[in-house]
Amino acid sequence: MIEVYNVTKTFEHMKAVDAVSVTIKENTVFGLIGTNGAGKSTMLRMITGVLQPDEGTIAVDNMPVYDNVEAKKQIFFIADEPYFFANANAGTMEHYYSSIYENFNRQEYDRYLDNFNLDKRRKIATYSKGMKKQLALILGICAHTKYLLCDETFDGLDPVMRQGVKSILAKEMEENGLTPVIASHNLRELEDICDHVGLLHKGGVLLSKDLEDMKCNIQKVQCVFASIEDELKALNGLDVLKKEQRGSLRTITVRSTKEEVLARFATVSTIFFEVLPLSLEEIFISETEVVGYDIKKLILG
Amino acid sequence: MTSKSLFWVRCKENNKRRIWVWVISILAMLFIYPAVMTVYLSRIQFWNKEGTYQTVMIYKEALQQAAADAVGFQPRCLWIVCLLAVLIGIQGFSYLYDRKKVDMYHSIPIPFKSRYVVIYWNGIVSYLLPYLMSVLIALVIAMTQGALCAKVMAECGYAFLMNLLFFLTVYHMAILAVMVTGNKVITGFLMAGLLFFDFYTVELYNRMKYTFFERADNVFTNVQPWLSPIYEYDRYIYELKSAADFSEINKILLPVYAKWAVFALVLGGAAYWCYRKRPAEASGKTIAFPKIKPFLKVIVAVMAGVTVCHLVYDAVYYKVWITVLAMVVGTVLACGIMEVIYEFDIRAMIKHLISTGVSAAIVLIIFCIYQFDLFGYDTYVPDADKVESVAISTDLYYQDYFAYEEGSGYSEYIVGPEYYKQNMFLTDTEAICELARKSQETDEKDMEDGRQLNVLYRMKSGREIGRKFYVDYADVSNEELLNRVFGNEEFLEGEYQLAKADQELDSTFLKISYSNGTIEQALSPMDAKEIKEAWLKDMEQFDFSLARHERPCGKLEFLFTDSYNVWNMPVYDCFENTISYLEKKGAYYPVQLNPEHIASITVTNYHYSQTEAYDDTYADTEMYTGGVSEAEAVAVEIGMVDMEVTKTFSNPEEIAEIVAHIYPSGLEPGWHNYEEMAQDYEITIAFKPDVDYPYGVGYYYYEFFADEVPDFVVEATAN
Repeated sequence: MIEVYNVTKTFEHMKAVDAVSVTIKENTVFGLIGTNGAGKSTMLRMITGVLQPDEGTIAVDNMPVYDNVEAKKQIFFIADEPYFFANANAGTMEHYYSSIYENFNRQEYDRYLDNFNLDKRRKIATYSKGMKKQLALILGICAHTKYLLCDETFDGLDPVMRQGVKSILAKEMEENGLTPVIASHNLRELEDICDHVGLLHKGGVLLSKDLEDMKCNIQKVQCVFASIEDELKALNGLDVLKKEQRGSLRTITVRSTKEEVLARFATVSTIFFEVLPLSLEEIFISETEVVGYDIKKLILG
Repeated sequence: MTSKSLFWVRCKENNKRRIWVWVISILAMLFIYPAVMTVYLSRIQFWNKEGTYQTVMIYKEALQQAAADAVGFQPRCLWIVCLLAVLIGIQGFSYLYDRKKVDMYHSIPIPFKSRYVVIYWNGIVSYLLPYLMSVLIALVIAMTQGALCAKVMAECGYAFLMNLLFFLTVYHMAILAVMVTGNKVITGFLMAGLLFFDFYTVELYNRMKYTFFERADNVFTNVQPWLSPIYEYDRYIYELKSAADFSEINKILLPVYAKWAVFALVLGGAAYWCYRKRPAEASGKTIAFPKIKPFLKVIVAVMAGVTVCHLVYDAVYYKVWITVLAMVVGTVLACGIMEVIYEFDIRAMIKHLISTGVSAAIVLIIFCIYQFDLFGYDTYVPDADKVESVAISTDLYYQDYFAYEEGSGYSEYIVGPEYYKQNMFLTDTEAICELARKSQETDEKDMEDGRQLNVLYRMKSGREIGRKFYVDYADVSNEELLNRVFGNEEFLEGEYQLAKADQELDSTFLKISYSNGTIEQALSPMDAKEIKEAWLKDMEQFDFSLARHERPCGKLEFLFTDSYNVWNMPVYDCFENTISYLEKKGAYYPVQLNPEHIASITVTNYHYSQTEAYDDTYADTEMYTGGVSEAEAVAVEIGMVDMEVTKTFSNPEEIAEIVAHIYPSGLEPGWHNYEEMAQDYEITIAFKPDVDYPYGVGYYYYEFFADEVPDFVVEATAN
């Protein structure tokens, strides 16, 4: 388990991460979602022991991670722009990482390279951006660490490759108990893979919940009320995150369980009423809008 | 894997990333050792074939010396070792500049300490291994040519240790520079700063001292850089090359070894501390530790401001307000440039004005310290009771000094002040301090014959303080004090190397002669000791009064033809012992010329006062019109050309009249006022060929005593 407690990181005069507390449970896929500059990369760099937090603690399996080899042995970090040695090929990198990570599986590495059609002897500098990300992922997977931290790793992969990587991650989770931590601003990429989501915004955590819980706790309702009084009565006491009006049709996003919403709307008169499923993207937009984030600036994949 | 084997695995992996550094190091070392050894030995072999070496022994010695030169103390090693240390230091830790690399290296399970040790160790090995291999190859080459001997091996060992400590000092400096900065360009600036800061600061300090303080001594106590390894390497390498034996090498090197070892240790410690404290997010930034930015900015700006102050103050002829304005502008500009470098943004020039203000204030304070002499530098005269002894440098005529090494056969030239420092210990400190105090009362310009004395006060506390001041030699009230200063054995021993010479007098290269300004008579080197004794006995009567009121009747010259060092000793009429010895050897001739021996006297009147006016007019015209031809035309127009008038006198009566009023040029050492001689006239004497005096072939130069130029000469040479 990775426990991040009250962590703060400031770069010169800018707080990149502000009092963040997150728990990453084992054998789940943790999605770290946030807008650009939300502090995702900083969080990952602190979790992997690259950066030292100004305040707070980070523990990997109850071990502090900064300059702690035992803790770092549990982690493989794939940065948003992975580094490969100058003039290196996939074989060179295999040789290097196998000298670092005790459980590095060379046979598996060769197999994955074949599956992804990556030439082991070709210089990495001649790879495309996507191929480099694939290679970094393969290295990470074959290192057989307990935690695999990916910073925007799926960005740049084509849909087929993305699916392939996802299935490899699923297999590794099942067979080896891998815990991937995936940071991305692309909500759609994480929706079908994450079990738990941490939502970062301006350096702080808006929420950290299981995806299912999150989906259950935010509801989108489309309805046409019979009267204004009915509308006021229905919404009174509900935590309304967002309300849109198109003619007499109201689209309301509320923080509540589906049962509560159904019960509340049953007490008022509606001409039309429907509870719609919320995509992760919509949850994200709603949550960030609540704290005054300009939705137009959100970059969606 | 055990931690030991892990270390070597990591070293191997790290070296794979540093192959090009190894290649450069190997090539450099192959050049400075085996290649140079081959060239040096080939040269000796070629000269041997040409017949330069008369015996096998001499040839062998030459070979061994060449081999020692090739693997020993060599100036060429300075820059090669320095550049290698900088290159290896920066390349090893340059991953810290790149966020991608930092993300990878710092996230993998290798302890920070271990990574540092691996990179650090590999850096040293990539220097050391090529060095040792190259030296070994060079020594094998020397052995095959019969040039290897214990001396070669010993010098090679000394040089190895010296180069290693120098490498470590610069290497640690380079690592420190990397740790403090975030990109290569700024590392380069900081590295240059670390290498030359001490050198530049000391130079600036010395120059400011000489610019602002009238009494700043530039002879004895020029402050030397102390923390610049490059300066020290350059300085010591020549001393080491000329060192006579290993005891002298030890004497020079052991303190250097100790100092560099401590310096390297401090720098290495600081570099490692910075590595541990360096935030990973510093990659790509200018400075890794933002808190030191203001300090660096202030240091650079103050240096820039003081430099501007020094340059402008002289250029504007000491106008205070222009200097102040220029240095404040210079300081503010330097602050702005530092901010631009910090931020990579031209708009940052006016940021952080507090540190800019502090820099300007410091520069102004420094200026005030110099301008208003706030610490009383110029008025300082030590308490005579606190002074152990004093050395004085006068502006007497040129003397050479050299150190003669026991049994080595080599002499080493020493500058005068260094000789005075080592040999002149005047103990009448009261007299010197009194002269220094008196000099405060009169401006040099108001003195009739003001002479500069550079003084080194050796304080009882062990401190050495240098000052210069002016003494009016024409002021009779100074005479008693000056007699106390110059009229003693201590001055004699410090001023004249002959006084302490012993082994030097046995030199086979020694030539002794006596000259009255016209006739130069050689004496046998065998006479050296006796003539020394006679002269020293006579010098017991020497004091300022003698030197000031009498003129030498001749001078003794000791010339060492191996080094062409010359010792000149004045002989006065009252030097009975010396003169009697010279007479005995048939070398003495009176300074007064016999008119009957002279065929003709040629007098040139330069009319200097007119020449100066011509020069001024010429220069002004050239400056304002920009043309040389126009300047010449103007000069011709105002009749300021051909001012020199030369006249030859061969009439015996005229010759007798002239001879009564002249004195040989350059015979008087400089105790007398130069105005005692007529400056406009130059006298050339041609002797008759058939006289019994041993005049040489050629012309002899004399001067008229001022106000004694015969009227017929004045008239004949008027224009």
